[in-house]
Amino acid sequence: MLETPCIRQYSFTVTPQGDNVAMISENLCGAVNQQERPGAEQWAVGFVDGEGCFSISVVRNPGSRFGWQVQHEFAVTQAASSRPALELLQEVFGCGRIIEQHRPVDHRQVLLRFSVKRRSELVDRVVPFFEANPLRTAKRADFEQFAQVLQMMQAGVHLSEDGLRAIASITETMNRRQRSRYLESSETIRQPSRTTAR
Amino acid sequence: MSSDNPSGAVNQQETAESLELDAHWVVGFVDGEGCFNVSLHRNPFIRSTRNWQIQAVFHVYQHQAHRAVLEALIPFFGCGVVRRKGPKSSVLTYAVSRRLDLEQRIVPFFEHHQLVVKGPDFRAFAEIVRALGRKEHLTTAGFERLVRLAYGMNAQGKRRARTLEEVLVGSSETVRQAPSLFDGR
Repeated sequence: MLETPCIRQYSFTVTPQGDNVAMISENLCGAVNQQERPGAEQWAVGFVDGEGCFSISVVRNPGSRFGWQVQHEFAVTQAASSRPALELLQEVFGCGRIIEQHRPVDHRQVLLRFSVKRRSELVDRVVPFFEANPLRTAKRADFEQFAQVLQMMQAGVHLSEDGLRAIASITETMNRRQRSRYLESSETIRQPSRTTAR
Repeated sequence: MSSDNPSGAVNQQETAESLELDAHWVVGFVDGEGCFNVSLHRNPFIRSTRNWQIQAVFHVYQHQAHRAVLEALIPFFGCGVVRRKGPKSSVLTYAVSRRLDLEQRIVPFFEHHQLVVKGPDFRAFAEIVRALGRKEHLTTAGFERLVRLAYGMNAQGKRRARTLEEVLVGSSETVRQAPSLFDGR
């Protein structure tokens, strides 16, 4: 079966009239297309379970309300040869961009990053997707905290300093469990919050 | 399945059986964390191929904190073991190294469910697994073909400890083979 690189595949599409029509499609080696790939959504879940990253960080931004800003990103980073996989993710999620970045050590090595940062896209597409198609590894815990923070932001929690602190506390329990620079910054120490910090 | 834990933590007591894996999910996960590996070892007991042994192994890697998903691959594929990547490593691997399991279970599965990222490496892997079953590696030409195939996989063999020439020509004590063996790849 795999001796010939071009594999004929059948896929069914529904015409506007609602009839099921069998279509023969050429699957050129490497070509991936959500329409020709039943199970693309579960594939995306598995791929993200392995390679995905849900990150929230509170970063310094002098122009922001309190001098600090919440950044959120759903990303998958791969070597350049895996571009078809990232393009399939774009199709499945219906959003996100693919950005080139260079490896810090070896500048000749190009990495590609599928990235969704816009809060509306995260809230309208990414979060509902993983609520309908749950992750199966421990990455689910990171996703749930990611979704929780986004929900808090939709409710305007980040617009108060206490809310910002609460969000920063959550970031300390996610991913690599690093201390939040915001929580350690002089501003927050000078203004003790009513809630216990850590 | 998992309980509704308010802190969001996935229940680590989940047994492998309760993690029923979807085939397409497995393909995606392998596209991310899997590795189709063909390695070459020196084995003094194998004289037919000048002490070189070709070993095909299918790996899926994961941090030890989340071993449940690796263990779920064992009932899913009906073969394989979960072990530590290295003596001091915190990474675990689900590994299938029995050639018959590779040929009868792993290879057919990925021929049925196409990989998006690892397709080319898998195809070389499948070819090598089948050729080993046909004992093609026992002839000089067959051995060389499989070694070249292996060196074409996984970043073009750049991460291998030995160069292609070292493997094909062998140590300096062995008799130099016909010139065709090193036609400058």
